[in-house]
Amino acid sequence: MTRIQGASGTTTATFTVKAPFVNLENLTFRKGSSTVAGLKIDAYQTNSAYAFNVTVFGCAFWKIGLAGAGAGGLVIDSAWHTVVDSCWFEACRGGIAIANNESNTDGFTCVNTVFNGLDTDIDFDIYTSGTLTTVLIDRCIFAHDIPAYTGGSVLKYISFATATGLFSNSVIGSETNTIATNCSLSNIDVSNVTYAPGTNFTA
Amino acid sequence: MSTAPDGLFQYGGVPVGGGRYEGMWGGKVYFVDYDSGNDAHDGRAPNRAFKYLDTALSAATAWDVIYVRPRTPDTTGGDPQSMLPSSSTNFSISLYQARNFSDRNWDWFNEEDSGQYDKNSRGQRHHYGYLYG
Repeated sequence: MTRIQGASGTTTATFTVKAPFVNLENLTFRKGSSTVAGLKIDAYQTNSAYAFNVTVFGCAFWKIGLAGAGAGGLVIDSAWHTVVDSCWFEACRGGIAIANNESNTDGFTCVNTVFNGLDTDIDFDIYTSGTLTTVLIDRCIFAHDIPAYTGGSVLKYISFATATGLFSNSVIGSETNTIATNCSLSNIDVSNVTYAPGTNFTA
Repeated sequence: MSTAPDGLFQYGGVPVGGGRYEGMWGGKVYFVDYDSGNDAHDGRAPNRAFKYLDTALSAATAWDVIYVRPRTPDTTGGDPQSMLPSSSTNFSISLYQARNFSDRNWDWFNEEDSGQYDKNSRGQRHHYGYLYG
């Protein structure tokens, strides 16, 4: 798998997508000197170019340790209908960070994806402080204990300020079965999400 | 996909017609090979590949295809070798200058092969990465 890494001394995202209908497949992203992201899907523009309907398939985000809840291995800024499928987030301080600088993000889908690493390396796996509508998180594995990065500001597997959608058929490597302890899901419906012993979460 | 007897497809699905590589929808095809390529090449065939992906991104226009060959594996047991940009500007797919961005579709596939046509851990055939628009 080709590993894409940002230039030394350059703090923008290693790879930025500002175009629609991009499909990135089987790439590994490293941050280099980026302070933003390994991959950024960006619909925050000052002119008419936007990213939307972007698919990220089979990609790895490798040890992208970025400070702050707005940064992540993958950053989605206002881009609608992003699909993350069959990816692997390894020891990323932030896995997927979703911003809404242009508009509220709509139609975020994350399926068949693994979030792995030491809990002490991780602040969050999926996060937004904004509004997110029509979310689908399905068949994902959060293969670590509750995020416990020292100095982390989120410390949840999933944290949504305002969101609607479905979180289903997934496993969280927590030994605690209460959703609120592990996630902040706003109005996301939960179906068949288990914690490590194989028991469904309870509200 | 493999090389078909009729010669229509090579290198993971790029149509080959009339002895030249073509994009899925008739655009040009560019090749990127970080280890063996050269930006003085035209990038239009594997043995004339560009070195840098950003060179190919700059050369490509709507409906073109870019194939990206994975780097030579690190034989010392370290992390895989990285593909870096040619300058201090990181990679970007942008349609800022596009006349109408809605008439462009970019797809970039990249599967590990290290130059070999074998299979990856998911049983998929390895082949060059590619981007088409």
